[in-house]
Amino acid sequence: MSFVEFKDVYKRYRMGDVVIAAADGVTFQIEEGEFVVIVGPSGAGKTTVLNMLGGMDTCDEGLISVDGQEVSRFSRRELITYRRYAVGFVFQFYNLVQNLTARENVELAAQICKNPMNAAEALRQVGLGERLDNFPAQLSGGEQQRVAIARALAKRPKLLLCDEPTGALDYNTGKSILKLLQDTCRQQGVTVIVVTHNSAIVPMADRVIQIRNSRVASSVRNPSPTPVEEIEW
Amino acid sequence: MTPALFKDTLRTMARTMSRFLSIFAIVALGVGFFAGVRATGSDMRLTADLYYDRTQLADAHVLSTMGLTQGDVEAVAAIPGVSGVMPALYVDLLTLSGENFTTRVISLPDLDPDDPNYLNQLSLVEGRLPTAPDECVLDSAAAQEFGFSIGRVITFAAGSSDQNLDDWLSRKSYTVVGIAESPLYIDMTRRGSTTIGNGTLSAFVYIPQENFVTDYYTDLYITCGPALPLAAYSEEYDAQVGLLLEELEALEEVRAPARLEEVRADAQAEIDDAQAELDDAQAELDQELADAWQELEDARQELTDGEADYQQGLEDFEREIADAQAELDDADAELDDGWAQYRDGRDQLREGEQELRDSLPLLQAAEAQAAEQTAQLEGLAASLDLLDPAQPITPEGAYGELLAALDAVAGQDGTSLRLGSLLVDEEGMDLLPPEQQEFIRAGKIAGVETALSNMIQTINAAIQEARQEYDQGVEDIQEGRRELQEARKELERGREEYNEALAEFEEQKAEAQQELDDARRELDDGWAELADGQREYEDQKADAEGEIADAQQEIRDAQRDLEDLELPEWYIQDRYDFASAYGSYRDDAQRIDNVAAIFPVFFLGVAALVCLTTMTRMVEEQRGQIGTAKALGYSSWAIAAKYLIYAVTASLLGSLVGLLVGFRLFPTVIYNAYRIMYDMPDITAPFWWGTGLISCLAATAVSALVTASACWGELRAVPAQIMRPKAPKAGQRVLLERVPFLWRRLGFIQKVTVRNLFRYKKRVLMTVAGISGCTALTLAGFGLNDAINDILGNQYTDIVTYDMMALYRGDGDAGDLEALDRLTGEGNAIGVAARETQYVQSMTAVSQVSQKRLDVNLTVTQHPEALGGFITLRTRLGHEPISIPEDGAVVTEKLATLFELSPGDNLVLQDSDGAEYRLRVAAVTENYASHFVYLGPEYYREVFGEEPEYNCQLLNLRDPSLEDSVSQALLENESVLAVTLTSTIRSQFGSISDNLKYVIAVLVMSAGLLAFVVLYNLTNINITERTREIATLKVLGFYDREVSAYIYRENTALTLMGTALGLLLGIALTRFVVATAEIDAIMFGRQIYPFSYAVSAALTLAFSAFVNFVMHFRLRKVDMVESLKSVD
Repeated sequence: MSFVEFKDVYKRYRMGDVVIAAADGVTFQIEEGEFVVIVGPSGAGKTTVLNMLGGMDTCDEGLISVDGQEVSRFSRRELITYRRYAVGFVFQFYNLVQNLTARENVELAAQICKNPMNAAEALRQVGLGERLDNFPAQLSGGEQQRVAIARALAKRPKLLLCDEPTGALDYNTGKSILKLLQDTCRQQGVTVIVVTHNSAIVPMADRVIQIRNSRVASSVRNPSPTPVEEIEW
Repeated sequence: MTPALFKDTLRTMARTMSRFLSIFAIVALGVGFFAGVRATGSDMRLTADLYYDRTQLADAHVLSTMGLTQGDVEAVAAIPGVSGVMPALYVDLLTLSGENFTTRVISLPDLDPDDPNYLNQLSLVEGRLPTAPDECVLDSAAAQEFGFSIGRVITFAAGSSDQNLDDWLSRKSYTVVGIAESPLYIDMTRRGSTTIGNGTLSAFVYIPQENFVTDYYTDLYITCGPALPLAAYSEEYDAQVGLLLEELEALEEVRAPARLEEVRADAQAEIDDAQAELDDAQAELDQELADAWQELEDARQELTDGEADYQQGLEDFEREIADAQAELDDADAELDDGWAQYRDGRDQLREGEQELRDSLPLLQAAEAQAAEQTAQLEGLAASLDLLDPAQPITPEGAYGELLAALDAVAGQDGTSLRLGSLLVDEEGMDLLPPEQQEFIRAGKIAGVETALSNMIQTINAAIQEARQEYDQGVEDIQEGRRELQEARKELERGREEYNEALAEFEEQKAEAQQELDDARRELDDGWAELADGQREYEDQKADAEGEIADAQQEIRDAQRDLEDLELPEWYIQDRYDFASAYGSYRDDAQRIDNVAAIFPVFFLGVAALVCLTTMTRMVEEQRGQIGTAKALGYSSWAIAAKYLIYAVTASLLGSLVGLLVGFRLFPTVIYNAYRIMYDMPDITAPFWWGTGLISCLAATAVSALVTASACWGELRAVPAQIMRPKAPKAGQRVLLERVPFLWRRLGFIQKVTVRNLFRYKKRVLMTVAGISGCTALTLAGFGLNDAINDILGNQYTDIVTYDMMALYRGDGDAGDLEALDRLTGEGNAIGVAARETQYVQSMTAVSQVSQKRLDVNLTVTQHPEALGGFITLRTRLGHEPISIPEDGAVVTEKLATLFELSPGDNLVLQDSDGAEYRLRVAAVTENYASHFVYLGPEYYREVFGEEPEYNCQLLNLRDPSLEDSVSQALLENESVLAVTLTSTIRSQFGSISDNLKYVIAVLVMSAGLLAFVVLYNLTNINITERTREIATLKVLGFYDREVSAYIYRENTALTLMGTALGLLLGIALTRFVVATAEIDAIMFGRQIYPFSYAVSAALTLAFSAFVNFVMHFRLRKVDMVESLKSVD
């Protein structure tokens, strides 16, 4: 069994009289330690898949398993526990708590974990060793995203889920963030899953899952990923 | 505003119903409370005014020192503006019932209720008005207090010794046919003061006017036409009545002299009559005195005569006694002589006897000798025979011896006869023949024989004679003895007779003496009686003359008084003076106004704050939309209109509901609480358009204003800027972080909390304000409750510790008073364990610092040192015991506070005659109900110059269950006026405080609602503002409870801060409420009990916990997925 497995996963939303399937029999596998890019056009259902994978949303049908655990059968509380210990999130808009310093934002996540990374250490890893006590408003977008990544990593998660991590960032910053993510994957062996509509970054992935119309169009393993520095878009 | 925008507005309302409702609710609450409490004062005044109008309560009242006449009535009626005049009569009497109480008996006119001259009409609670002269209408409060019902017969008695019931009323007993309330007596607790009984009126009774027998009216009630349409208590009304009072004062100038003349004429006639009567009495007295004097003189004459008789008797007695005594003495002496003679005789007899006895042997010897001689002689004789006459007889021979013997015999007895010789003579014989010789010899022998025989004869005769003599002697002795015996007997009889005579004498003497003594005593008695009579005569004469002189003096005084008679004075009063509690009712309404000035403003303020935050949040949330609308070309006003309409609609609806509920709920609850003290009809609570409009406008304007100000910030910016997400408010360091020492000690979550608190200052401020308001209101409610309960707890448990109080007539019948003293004194049988006697008198205290006048109870306690067992005198703070000094008074705290008195100051008391007394205040004692001035008897004497006339007993019972039997025993005593049980007062006060609990419940419920709305609203805003943050936390894997705790930690901190601040505010608020709600006669407790703090805090925390509980479900519903979208 793969590290992550989606098998005929359905997610339907009811909008008035119309039922919209956000996930329409999604099936794919991901191996541990892979850097995965889930790519597809806006509204194709990428985020839904990510949310279900991250335990933020539940599926209506099908099987989702992570590291042998059947996430799709988790209760509300088990889902929280799953999020708490197994998953790290990086959002497009960083979602930092404005009233907390960089270190405190990391601590916010770290304090509820069993074996967290030292907050300062996590921030140093993302290159913010000097900005520990700055508030989010005092940081640039890239720096804020680094804080978000540090926050996710501090939990030592099995999965690092990133939803358009570069969406709100400029080209160079975006690249450096992707680099950080790739390095993290390589160096720490964390399974990183990045959701993006930007197919240009596909080459850097170990595995590329293409989603179209709420279905997996293709799931391809890339035997030779390209380093981020060499990718242009 | 375009239809689209309008639709958007309506939909916004529907979608954000909870927000809309929170504005609605807080406005409803604020406006309802504001308008309701504000209207209460006006409602109270309106209710009173309607009541006064309906009952035609007089506007002015005239009392005169000389009474008023029909002429006065007509003169008053003629004053322009006077629309009604009702002459009336009243007299204060004692009502005889189980508990004798003082009653004002008032005349009920026989007028039609529509008659403008029928004033102060009664409102029947039960029954009907009298139709017969012996029927009456009774005061409803008194009926309740004394347990009188319709059908009961009330009997009146004079209230004091100088009052004569017959001078006032033609009948004494009346049947109660109706129970009513009077607008003159709206004060439930007091009926006014009087000069009889204990000085306090307990009831009023209306009887048909015809029962009064006085020839004048005691008072006039007047209504003022121009004041009729004006509202009672309004300035216009007071001014209009003021004008009437001036007119009346002017009229007094005219009417008073007229009345004086009338009274003078009447009085002069009366004085003349009295003088005539007195003169008659003088004449009668003189006659009587003369008669009495004559009687005395007669008695004296009689006594003098008696005295002379007695003297005569005494002399006779003495003389007779002397005579008798002399006679007796003679007899005695005679007897003594007799005895002496007797004793002589007896001695003689004894001597004779002795002699006789001595002579006996001689006799016997003589006899023997005689017998011998006889025998000798006879022998001789015989010898003679032997002689032979024939022979010569010679001395020789045998004859010789014979002859010698013869001679011896002859010589023996002296006889010279010589017998022998005779014989022997022979001479011549021889011569003679023998025959002759023989014859001569025989003759001679015969002669000798004869001589011998004679001799024997003689001897025997002598012996015989001696014997005879001796026998005669014996016989004589015997005779003498017999005679002596006889004499002795006689003497003894004589002595006996003498003794009898003596006894008789003594007896008669004693008898006579007795008679004399009796006569003497009789005389002495007579003299004493005479002296008494004399004295009595003098006394009575003096008395009668004194009486006459007094009467004369009285007449002279009356005459002088009459001459000195001053113009009668009119007491012209307005309602504040003549209707009891008229003014205090206004003050109470005013007090509510005061409360209304603070409390509701608080509510309105909180409402404004809630509205502001809600609308600000709403505008911020809809920033994008605003920007879009602006970009589309809508004017700022059109955009703002949406929010204005939103807020104004919520406010208007809230105001409306608030007004509808508030105008009824608050006035009714508060008024009903006040009705404990006032006999007033049900409240009239109209919709006050003015207040309603103002509060509605104020609320709406405030919400519109805060909405406009919220919009203003956003609308100022250009559309592009608005459409961009608002930069999140930057985090910042708080002051506490500069204190690393403390900061480092805080946990991570605590740090976050502290920083958040400082970040959202506005919200913190509002939350704290709302919550502290809630706590303060709740505490004020409980504090008020404590304050009122303190009266009960302190006054009737700690301070008043006696079980019952008996008021009696200090000037009552001496026998009754003595019986009363024994009834409750040492060793009583009814169960009184201890008692203290007091003199209690109602007086008026006059403030030296303000115009205030207060009714106080002057209490002179007989044994100041023993008062502690009945009434506790102590300082409120520290409970230091206070003792009554000999040179000062102890006053109760409320009096001291109102008059600004402290120890050493002077307190001025006025009695009902207006005389003023100055007392030195020695100490201030804790007390909650009524005002008391405690004195010892010494100080009372010093200040009032008289002995206290004790009229009250405080009693402690051996067993509380004896209450009823003891009071019954007391009331059977004629002098006892009333018995008050402390337990009854305690339960009465208990029911008052029960009633006030409604007010407190309203306060606490309002406070709770306030707290709920504020907290809900703020937490709601907190959550919506921080949805992203909450969602992030959820994504990070915070459990529901942890998420809630993260948010609630702030709420909890704010609640705690608010509660703490609220408790402080609450203390101040309680003080304010207590001070404004307090009436003059009562001091509320000043202590808020820990329990109240605890409950207030606990309630606030509970409200807050409830809000948190509700919010927990909202937090659960926050969708992580939604919130991870871009910032909108």
